Amino acid sequence: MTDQEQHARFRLDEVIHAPVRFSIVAALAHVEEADFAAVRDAVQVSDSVLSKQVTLLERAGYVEVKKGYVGKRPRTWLKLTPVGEAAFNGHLQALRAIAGQ
Amino acid sequence: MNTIPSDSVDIPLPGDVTAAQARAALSQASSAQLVTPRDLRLLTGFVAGVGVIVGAILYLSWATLSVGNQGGFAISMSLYAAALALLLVIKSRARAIPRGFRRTYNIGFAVTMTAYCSGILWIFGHQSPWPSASVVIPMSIVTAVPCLIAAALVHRTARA
Repeated sequence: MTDQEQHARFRLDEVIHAPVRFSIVAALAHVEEADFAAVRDAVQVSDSVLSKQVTLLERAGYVEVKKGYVGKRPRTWLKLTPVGEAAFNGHLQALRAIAGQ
Repeated sequence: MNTIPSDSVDIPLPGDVTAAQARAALSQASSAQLVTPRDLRLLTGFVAGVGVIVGAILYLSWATLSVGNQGGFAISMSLYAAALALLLVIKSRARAIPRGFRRTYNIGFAVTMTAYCSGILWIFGHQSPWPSASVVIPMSIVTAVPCLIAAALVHRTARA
């Protein structure tokens, strides 16, 4: 059976499908990069939950994590990788097919 | 397709997604927004500020060196460096960078610097007599314009 013949639900990305991870990736898809705290506030999760989900996305190769300093303050920047972007676009296509759009 | 690591199965698997849930997810994806109006103000201020200080340093280089005021030139260069450092601090306070920002800024900055270098070469190639303010002021404004346009584009694109 080819991808064309499969039901769209089989094309959903299981890493991105989780609600929190979907929110993280959807938010990062609109920016070049974003501060960890900005993503945490937008997604409305705790630091530890975001950290755990970002680690999973990083392990999947979907998100790049960059640590640095602004003055003396440590800052963590999150960025969607090209692989993550492609996976997210594929996931959206599958959702559109399911939604009948 | 990646699979969920075994320690993170915290939601129903994708097989159960209904059309309504898919529509809700699509709506969420299109409305997700990390860039705040504050971020936009900081980033557009940074880009516009770079244009203004590069244009200003072109004018100040002429205004000081054309009358032999080396000390004034050194002070204006110091002020330029301080203003640039301040702008970099302002930019670093933005918590999210909108898509396309770097490309737009890099193009605006490159054109501004090209105008600046051309202006400096032209001004210092015409020292006897030095060009008048009526020529140098428009040149300084033209130098700043590419970054000002880039700032406007960053603002417009991010809000679209």
